[in-house]
Amino acid sequence: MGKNVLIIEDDENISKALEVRLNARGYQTSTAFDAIMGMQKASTTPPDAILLDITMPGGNGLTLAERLKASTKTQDVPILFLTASKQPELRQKAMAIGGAAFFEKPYAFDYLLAALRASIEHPNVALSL
Amino acid sequence: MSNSDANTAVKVLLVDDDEDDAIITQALLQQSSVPRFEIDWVRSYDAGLTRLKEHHHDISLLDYNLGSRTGIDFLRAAHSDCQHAPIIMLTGQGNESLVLEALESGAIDYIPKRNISSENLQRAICHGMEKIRLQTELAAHQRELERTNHELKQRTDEIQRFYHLLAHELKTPLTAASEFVNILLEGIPGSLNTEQSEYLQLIQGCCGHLNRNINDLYEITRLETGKLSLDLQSEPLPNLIAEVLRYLRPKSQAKGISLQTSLAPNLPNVMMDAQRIRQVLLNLVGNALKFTDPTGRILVEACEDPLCPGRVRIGIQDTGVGIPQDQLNGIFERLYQVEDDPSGMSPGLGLGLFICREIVKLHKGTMSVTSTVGKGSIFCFTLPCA
Repeated sequence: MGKNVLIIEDDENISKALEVRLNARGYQTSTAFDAIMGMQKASTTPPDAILLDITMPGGNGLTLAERLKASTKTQDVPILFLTASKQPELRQKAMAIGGAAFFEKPYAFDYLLAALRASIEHPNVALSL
Repeated sequence: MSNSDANTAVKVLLVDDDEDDAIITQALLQQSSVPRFEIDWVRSYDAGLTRLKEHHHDISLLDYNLGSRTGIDFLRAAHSDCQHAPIIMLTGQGNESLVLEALESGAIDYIPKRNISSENLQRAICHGMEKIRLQTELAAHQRELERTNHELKQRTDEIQRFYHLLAHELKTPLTAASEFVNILLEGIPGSLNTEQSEYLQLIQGCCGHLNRNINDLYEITRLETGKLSLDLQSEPLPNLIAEVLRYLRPKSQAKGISLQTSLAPNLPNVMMDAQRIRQVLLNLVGNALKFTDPTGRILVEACEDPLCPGRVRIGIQDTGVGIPQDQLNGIFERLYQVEDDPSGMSPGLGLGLFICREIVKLHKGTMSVTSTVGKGSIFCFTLPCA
């Protein structure tokens, strides 16, 4: 049984591409297109890892990550941040919240995959790429 | 006083409780025809303050002795009204501490009564008015500069916000496009023939190129708006060089170019923002790969700078096409473009080397290049030891 990855990403194309590539490697995926839907899905069925976009409608990814980390249901779920923004302070904020990894778009999928695998196997190790 | 208003009378408020002194002062002032003085004499402290606050005068002459009060009391009382006419103190005391006190309390000048003459009065009044005119002008310029500075800051923030937004809006569809190309290249929806793979790789190359251009545009904005700050740490260079070469090795192997290092043993740590120096190395080694023919060689060297102790010198040497001497001076300039680019590749925005040099400069390092056409180039930069 593949690991479950929740993709919280408002761009449907990127979300779809992530699903296709992760599914092809045996991961099971679910998707949410805004922060509210993301919180609901993560709380209802906590996934093994979350890929979380930072700039989204309905609250930004950093705020959502703080809520996920504050909830007993989701506090241990590794969060891998994705962003198309180049604001340098985002990386520091994301890692300070407890992000397992941080990727700028366009990301190198191989690195993303390696970080995803590592974060599920070793949830306390953080990567910033 | 300018020629244009030379015929206009200068309105003088004279505050003096001594009638004889006041008559002498008025007589001396009336000896002057250019400028002509129109004198308004008041005898008391209170009357003087009242008239001063009416702002009808160009300048005031103030006696030190004003009954039970002094000229210093008057100056301090006048201080709250910053619009009042400049005040020159007339004093019979002539001691230095009194003069200093008067100047500190807001007088623009003083005239000892024992030295009073028509010329002295005229000179002091004209100098005083000119001083005030210059001070007013300076204050207006300063206000204008502050306003302009504030507007520029707002504009800079606006530009910065725009580029954040632009980078986000361009990178989002670019990421999706690149990812779907990768999905096709991986054969997830079905296998591809060689020609299809080749075309998709071309698209992938274009996506990479577009991404580099977006990054360069963003970086240049941060540099030019002074927003690019460094996170300086004591770091070992060999690890970073190895990481950069590991990343670029597939490209060098695909092109048949040898990629080597020569690092001095016991190389000291340097003070650097590793992310930024990674960017510099990627750009310089990437350029070397771009301009070196297959079977060529690229060598990345690092050693303590023999010419400049306390610095590490990093060199990227290639056996590429080289750069003509007449182009070497401009190569680090903004928007520099290679003339007759022998690589036949897209010239890019001409920002890469400029950004590299600016990043190195932010590290208090230097960047230089030597080159021989047909033999290759050596790009060097220095970083301070930790």
